[in-house]
Amino acid sequence: MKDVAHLARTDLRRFRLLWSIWVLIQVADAFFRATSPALSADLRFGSAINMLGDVLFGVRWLGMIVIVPLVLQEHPPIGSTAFWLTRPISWHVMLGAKLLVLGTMLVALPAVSELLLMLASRVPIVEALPVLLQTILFQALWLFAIMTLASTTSNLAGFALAGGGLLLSFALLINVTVAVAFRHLANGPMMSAVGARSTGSAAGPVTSIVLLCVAAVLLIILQYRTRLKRYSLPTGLTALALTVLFMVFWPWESRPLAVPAWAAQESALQLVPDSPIGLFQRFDLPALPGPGTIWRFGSIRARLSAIESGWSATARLADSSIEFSDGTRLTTAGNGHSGAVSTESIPSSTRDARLQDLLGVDRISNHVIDGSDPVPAIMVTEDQFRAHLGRPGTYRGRFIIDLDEIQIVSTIPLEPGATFQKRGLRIVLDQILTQGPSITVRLHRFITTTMFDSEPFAQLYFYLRNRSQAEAVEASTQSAYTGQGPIPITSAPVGVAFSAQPGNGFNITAAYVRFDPDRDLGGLVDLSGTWRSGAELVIASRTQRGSVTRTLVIPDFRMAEPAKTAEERK
Amino acid sequence: MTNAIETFDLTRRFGRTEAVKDLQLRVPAGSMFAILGPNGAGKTTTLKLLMNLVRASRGRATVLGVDTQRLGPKEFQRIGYVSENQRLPEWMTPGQLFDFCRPFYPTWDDGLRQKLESDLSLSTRARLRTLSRGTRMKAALLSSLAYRPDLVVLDEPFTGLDPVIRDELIRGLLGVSGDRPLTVLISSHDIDEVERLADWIGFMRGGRIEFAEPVSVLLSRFRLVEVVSPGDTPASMPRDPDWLSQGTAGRTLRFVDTSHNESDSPSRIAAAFPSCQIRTTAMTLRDIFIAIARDPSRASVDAEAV
Repeated sequence: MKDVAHLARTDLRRFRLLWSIWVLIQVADAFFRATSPALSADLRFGSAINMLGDVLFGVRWLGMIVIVPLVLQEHPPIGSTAFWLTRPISWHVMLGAKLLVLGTMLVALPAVSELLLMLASRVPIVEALPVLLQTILFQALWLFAIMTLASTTSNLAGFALAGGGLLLSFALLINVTVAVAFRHLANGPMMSAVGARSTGSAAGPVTSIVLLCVAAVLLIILQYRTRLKRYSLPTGLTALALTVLFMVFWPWESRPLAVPAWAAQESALQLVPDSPIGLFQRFDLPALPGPGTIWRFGSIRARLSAIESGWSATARLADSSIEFSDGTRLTTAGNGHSGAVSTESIPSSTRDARLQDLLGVDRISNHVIDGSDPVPAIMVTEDQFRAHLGRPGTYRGRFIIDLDEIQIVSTIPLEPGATFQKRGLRIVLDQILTQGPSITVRLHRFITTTMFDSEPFAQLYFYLRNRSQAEAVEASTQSAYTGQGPIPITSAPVGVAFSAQPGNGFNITAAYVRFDPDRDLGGLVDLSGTWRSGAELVIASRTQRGSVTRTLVIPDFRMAEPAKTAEERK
Repeated sequence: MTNAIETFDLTRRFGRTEAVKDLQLRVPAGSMFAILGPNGAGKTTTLKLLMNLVRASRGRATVLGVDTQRLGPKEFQRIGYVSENQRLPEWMTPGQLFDFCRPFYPTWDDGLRQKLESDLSLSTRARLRTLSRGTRMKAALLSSLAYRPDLVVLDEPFTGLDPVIRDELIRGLLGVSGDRPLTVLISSHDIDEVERLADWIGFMRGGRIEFAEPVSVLLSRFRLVEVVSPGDTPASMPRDPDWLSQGTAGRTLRFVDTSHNESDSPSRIAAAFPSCQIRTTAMTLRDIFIAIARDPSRASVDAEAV
C-alpha cells in the first residue's frame, strides 16, 4: 500500500497541471449546471450559454480521453523500454496506483461534484444516492474502456490510431449491418413490435455495465500481468463477446406495469366504433428498397367505453384482419410484419369533462383540438385496397390499450418562491410575468432520474386555477433550458407536458410556462388582476400504468378513400 | 564458483529472424562480464531476455538463481539495469529520480548516493530531459547502484559518451564493486573501456555466444604471429583451425594463433614454417576482437572455458 501511495503521489505530481485543469473543469461544470438555467433567463445570453455548455461537455470528454492514456503510458505495461519494468515494482502495485489516481480523479471527483450539486439543490439524500451510484457506474465504464486501449498502446499517437481505427471499424460494421438488413428487408411498411407495457428493472443494465467493466478489467489485468497483447486482447474480447451475448439474451422488458382492478375486467375499456367505415390513407415508403409497393393505412373512429375518471388511454394495433364474403382475408400480419402501428391516439372525446372533474372547476380553457384521433386499424396494399374498395367485410382487430393515470400532485400559490417537491423532483417558481392578457411563470426544475427508477418519470402538466370562479387555464407552451441539452417537451393528449429521459441523472432546468387565454378554445377565461389574485398553480401528473388487450369486431366494415385535403385537391 | 546468470538454449525469434539462438551463457558470480559483438549480434535482446523485458521463444534462463520469467520485485531489489534504450522519467530531476526509487529498495544507501553524486560530478537540479545523454546515463547508473545491487546489467552504457564521462562511469562502477561482491554484465562496442573493466569476455555473433572466458585466458591464448620468409615470396598459410590468417606484406605472413600456449605453440609454429624467422606478439583485446570479427568461420574456440 505504501508503494501504491508513493506511485500515486508521483503521478499526481507529474500531471499536476493537468489535474488542476481537470478539477477546474469539474468545478466549472458544476457551477455552470447550477447557474446556467438562471443565466439563460436573459435571452441575449441564451446561445452563448448553450455554446459554453457544449464546450464544457466536449472538454470533459476530451479530458478523459487524454488524461487516461497520459497517466497510464507514463509507466506503460507494454514494450520493453519502460523504466519501471526493471524496478522492484510489481504489476499489481502499478495498476493499483493507476486505478487509485484515475479512479479518484475521473470517477470519484465527478461523483462528489454531482453529489454536492444535488445536496446544494436540496435533493433528498435518498434520491441523490441512486444518481451517485449511476454516475459512478458510467464513469467507471468509460474509464475502463479507455484504459483498455491505453494499456495496449505505448504512446498517445498509438492510442489515437487504435481509437480511430476502432471507431472507423465500428462505423463500418454498422454500415455493413444496415446495408445487409436493408437488402433482406421484406417489402412493406415497418411496424414496431407490440406487447403490453412493461418496465425493465435496473438489474439488466447494471449487470451489463458490471460485466463490461469486468471484461475491460480482465484485459487490463492480463496486460499488466503478462505485458503481452496476444494474451490480454483475446481474453478481453472473449469476455466482451460473452457480455454481448448476455445482453442479447437478457429479458430486458420483464416486468409488466400494473393494471388497476377496474381495467382488468373484460367489460371495461371496450372499443366502440363510431362508424363501420375505415378511411385508408396512402402510405409512401420512398426510402426503402424493393419493388415499391404502395401501401394504405386504414384507420377508424372509435370510443373507449367504461374508462374511470382520472385515467386516460391510448390504443395500439397488435394485429387485424378483414374477411370478405367471398372468403378473401386481408391481414396485417399477412404483409410480413408482426407488429403494430406505433401511432398513438385517444379514442375518447370526453377530455374536457374529465379535466374539469379532475380540477374541480366548471370551465376550463385548454389548447388541444377537441375530438378523438382516428385509431390505426390495418395496413393493406394499394392493389388490395382497390380490389375491395366499398365491399362489406368483417373487421377483427386486436388492440393493446395502454393506461395512464392522471392525478393532481400539488397545488402551490402563484407567487415567487413557491415550491413543489416530490421525491426526485423539485419545482421552484422564480418569477410571475404578466404580458397583456397572458401570464408566464418562470420556474426552476430539479430532476433526478436514474436507471434504478422503478417506474417511468411522470409527465407533468400545469394549470392555473381559481377556485372561487371555478375556472382553470391550461398551460399553452413550455420552453425549457438545461445545461445538458434540452429536456423533451412532449405534446401529449392532455396538453403540453414535460418529462425527463430515464437515467438522465441529475438536471437543473429553467422553464417558462405560459397561460394564454387568447388561444382559448374551451371558453373565455379572463386572467385579470382579480382572477389572478385568487389563482393557484396546479401541477398534474400523467403516469404510465399497465396495458390490457381488447378485440374490436366491426361486422359490416367497408374500406373508403379519405376526403382530399385542400392541398391534394390543388 | 556459482553463476549469477545461466541460460539454457535460450532462443528469441522476431518473425522469421532468430535474434538469439540456443544461447548457452554462464556469468560467474562476482565477475565483470562483457559481451562483445558486432551490431545485430543479439546482445541487447539477450540482456532484455535476462531482465524479462522480452519473452523467450524457446529455452530458459536464470538470474540470481531465479527463472527470468519469475523475476519480481524481490529479485529486482538486487538487480540494477541501465540501458541506452530505457525511457527514463525525463520530467524528473536526478534528485527526484533518486527520491522516486528510494522507497522501493530496503538497502538504499543515501551515503553511497551522495558519494556517487560527487564522484560522478552529477548535478541533481535540472530536469533529465534538459541534461546531456552522458549526464542522464550517470543518473540512471547512480539510481541502479545506490542500493548496492548484487547484479548490474548494462546495455551499451558508453555509446556516444565522451571519454571523461566514460571514465567517470567506470570509476563509479568500480567504486561500488570494490565494497562487496558485485556481478556486472555489460554489453558494449567500446572495447577499450571494457578491457579496463571486464575480467570475463563473451563474444557474440549471429545470436550465439562464440566463446566466453576470463580476459587473462583470452589474452594469453591469442598471439599475433609474424613469419618472415627467407625467399622473395611470403610463406604459404597452412590449414590449421586455430590460426586466423591476417594476410601478407612483402615477405611477411601474419596470422593469429587462437590457442597459444608457451609450452608447445612455438615448436608447432616452427615446424609449420621451417627456416623462417618467427615473431610472436601479445595482442590487445581490440586486436583480438577485430581478428575474430574479420574471420567469422574460425572464431569458435574454447567455449568450454565458460
